[in-house]
Amino acid sequence: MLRWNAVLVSFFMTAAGLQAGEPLFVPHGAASMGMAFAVTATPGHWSCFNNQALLTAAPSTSFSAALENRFMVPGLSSKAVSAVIAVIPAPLGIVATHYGNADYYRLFTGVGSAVKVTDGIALGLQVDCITEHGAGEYRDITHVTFETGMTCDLSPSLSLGMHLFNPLTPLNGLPSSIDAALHWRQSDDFMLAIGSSKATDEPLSVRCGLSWDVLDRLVLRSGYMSSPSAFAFGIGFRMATLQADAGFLMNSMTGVTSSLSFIWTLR
Amino acid sequence: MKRLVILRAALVLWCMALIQGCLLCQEVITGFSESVEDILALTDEYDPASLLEGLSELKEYPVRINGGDEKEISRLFFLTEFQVMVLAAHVRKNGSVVTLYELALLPAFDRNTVMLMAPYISLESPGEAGGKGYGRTTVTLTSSARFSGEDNDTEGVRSLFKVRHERERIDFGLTAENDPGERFTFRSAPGTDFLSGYLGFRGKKIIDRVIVGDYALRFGEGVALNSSRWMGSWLSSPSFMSGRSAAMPYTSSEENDFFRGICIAIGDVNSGVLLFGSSNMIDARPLYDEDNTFTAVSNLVRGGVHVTESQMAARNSLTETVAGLRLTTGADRIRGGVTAMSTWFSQPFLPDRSKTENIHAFEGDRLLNLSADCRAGTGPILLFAEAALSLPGSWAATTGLRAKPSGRVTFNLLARHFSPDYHAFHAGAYKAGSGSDNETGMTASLHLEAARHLFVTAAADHYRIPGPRYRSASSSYGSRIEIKGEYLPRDDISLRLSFTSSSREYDAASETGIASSVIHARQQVGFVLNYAPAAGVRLTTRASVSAITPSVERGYLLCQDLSYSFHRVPLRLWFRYLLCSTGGWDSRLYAWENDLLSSFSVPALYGETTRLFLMLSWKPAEKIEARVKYAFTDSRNGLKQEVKGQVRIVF
Repeated sequence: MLRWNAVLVSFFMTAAGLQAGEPLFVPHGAASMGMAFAVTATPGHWSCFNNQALLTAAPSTSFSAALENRFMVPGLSSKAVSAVIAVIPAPLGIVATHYGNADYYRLFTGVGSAVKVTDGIALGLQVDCITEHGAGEYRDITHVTFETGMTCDLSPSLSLGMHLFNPLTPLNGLPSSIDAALHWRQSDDFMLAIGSSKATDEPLSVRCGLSWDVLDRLVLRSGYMSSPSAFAFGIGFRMATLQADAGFLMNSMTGVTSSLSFIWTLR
Repeated sequence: MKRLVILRAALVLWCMALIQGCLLCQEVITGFSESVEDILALTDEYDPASLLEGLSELKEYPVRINGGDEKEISRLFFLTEFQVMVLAAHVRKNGSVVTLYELALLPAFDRNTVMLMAPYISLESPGEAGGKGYGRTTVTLTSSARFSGEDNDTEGVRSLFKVRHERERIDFGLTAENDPGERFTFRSAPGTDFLSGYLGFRGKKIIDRVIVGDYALRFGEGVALNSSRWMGSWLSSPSFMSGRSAAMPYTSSEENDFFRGICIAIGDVNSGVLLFGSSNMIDARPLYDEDNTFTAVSNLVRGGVHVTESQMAARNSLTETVAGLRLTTGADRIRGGVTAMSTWFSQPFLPDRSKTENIHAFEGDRLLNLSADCRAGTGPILLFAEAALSLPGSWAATTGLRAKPSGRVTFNLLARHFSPDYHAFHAGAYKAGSGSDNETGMTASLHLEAARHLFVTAAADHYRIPGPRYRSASSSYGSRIEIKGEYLPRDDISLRLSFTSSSREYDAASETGIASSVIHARQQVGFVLNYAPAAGVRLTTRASVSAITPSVERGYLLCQDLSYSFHRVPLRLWFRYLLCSTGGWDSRLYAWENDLLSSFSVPALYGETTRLFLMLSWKPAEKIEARVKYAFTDSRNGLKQEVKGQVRIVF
């Protein structure tokens, strides 16, 4: 057990020191935002796109739409739609996002899948297509890259997740990122997550979040990320097959970033 | 023979239980002292004196919780109304509390709160408590002196005399103090430089409490009124909620932040009225006109030392007259109150507006404060809020929650806004900076029992200072992060590791023009190992490292403590040897010291410093204790020596 813990600590320290980059994929999902995006090991519809290996934990097919309003500035808003098709043994995840305005926008589309390698270990892969449209004389650019993730159940209540985005930086010049997180389900109603994220030319960001099912249908979330330093809050409401979430990131310099998402699950 | 064996076994078991109890108390004090060290490292503005005096008093008179009396339990001033109510109801319903661990399972309580309470409570049943008939009187006489080769204001003898008598219905007390360099004289003074006293009455019917003399008030979250603050900016405190709203006799030796007059509490815990009036002379910096006539004051003066000419001029130069009332009402799950307070000053405030930090300072001689507060919930979630208005001035509000999603997790959250021109002279709400104004921020903390014997606390605070203040000519930002881990494998050993990081935006030094800003950051790592290798012996090893940017200063501290209780004579010994090396004042480090009763010592250590102290406690009888302490600090500034003596008698 001690050796296993030492390996984990070594991994976190190594992951913390890796040079990666700002991800082009703007993370979506109000539930993820409510936990300060410390969701690399946390199952959930939108978490699947932060770590594709989590697709294997999707209980059923679901569709979602999300809107993120960065710093409450409409021009910096981002829209997203996604679907998780729960096909055994390799579920499918599809995501499309739009960021920007009429003059400049970025379209991000991705198709991913995941498999369980053994009991407790899952691997995921997603192919991404990123199209950037610039105003005036700037030409449009399209890149194709991929991202990959892994989850590992360390115990019935503790799991580890890792995610790597765009390891092709030397080839395409796009920044890349690496994330690692632990997810601890302390009880049926309460879970904690802690993780780190490192992107190219950005400082290491340590993130932690908690989620608490206060009532059967009501979920409260909170979190903190160190870089950029921000508190996160979220609330979720479930009714039958529909789930609505709202999340907020509060930074003392840049203000509030809000997010709203709806998930429709097929039973 | 068999009876003798049983007797010996019982004696050994009893001693073991006693030792474990003592160890637990030691442990708690160590944990708390580290928090004070951390606070002092992060801000010079926090003054733990009143808090520590309050805790010392509780240590002398532990709260007997097994009586189930809400008034008695509410002496634990850091507990909220709900916690007092829950604990009292638990005792009344289920009988006496047998172990501390039982308390941690109660709703609204957690391990951290119980560990904070532990040294200050007694589990003896009400019938065992003695001294009820004639009450209990405590007399404490303390004297301390400092010597060094240089002439400075801190040298001289400090004398402190305290008397306190408490009976079932009546209590009274007297505090007299002379700081180093202050003379004992009856010329414009009552003998000593500071004299404070009170007479209190506890009623059983409509009138709940009457205090004549010096008293302190704490209402709501302290946005409008809290002259008895307890937590300062303690980031990893068990809760961000202020303690129970209360009127308390004033027993501290802090010379300015209290009321002098009368307060009357009518009603009970759920609903009532509190009326108060005060006229107190406090220290302020006087301003004179061309005829050398005293016409106004520029600002209040804290510290209470009156040695130099300017300190003497400020002494008691302003009379603050206060009248107010508070109405409270509530039920089991929600309660609230409104407070109105009017203040008149004998001279108007006339701040120096040419200094940017004074742009929003209070001006005039009258102030009206209004506030409303409420607390709601029991069990896993407690909500609290207070909003206040000052006339002249603006508004302030604070709100937060304390949640306990599971038995092993406690989560605290607090949001606050204090307008730059909000004024309250006796406020004491939770905020990063001192004063009652000019801050908007958010604080969160998480207390987690991560595994058996392993406790983790993580907390973060981000705040913005919207108006100019000292060293910041425009709005500025600040943040604090604190992570602590405690490993307590056995009762006789504990390991603590802590990391704190703080940053503040200040004006960059520039000769001309508008100053740009620079972020000053401080990071500190601390390690404490506390263990008891044998009965009566306790060793504490600590190491701290600090790093400052952008000045790239570094500092470290190594310290070894020993305490030993002699078996055959009623003596106890404390010894410390400490080495410290820092690049300058910014990277200074603090180390809590055991000190005289009702006293504390947390010296700031910087440069190349060696410090040593030896303290001896002699307790010839249960009711008498004498302490002597000798300390020296050797640094590049020379050798400084300190001698302290104290006698305390309880009868």
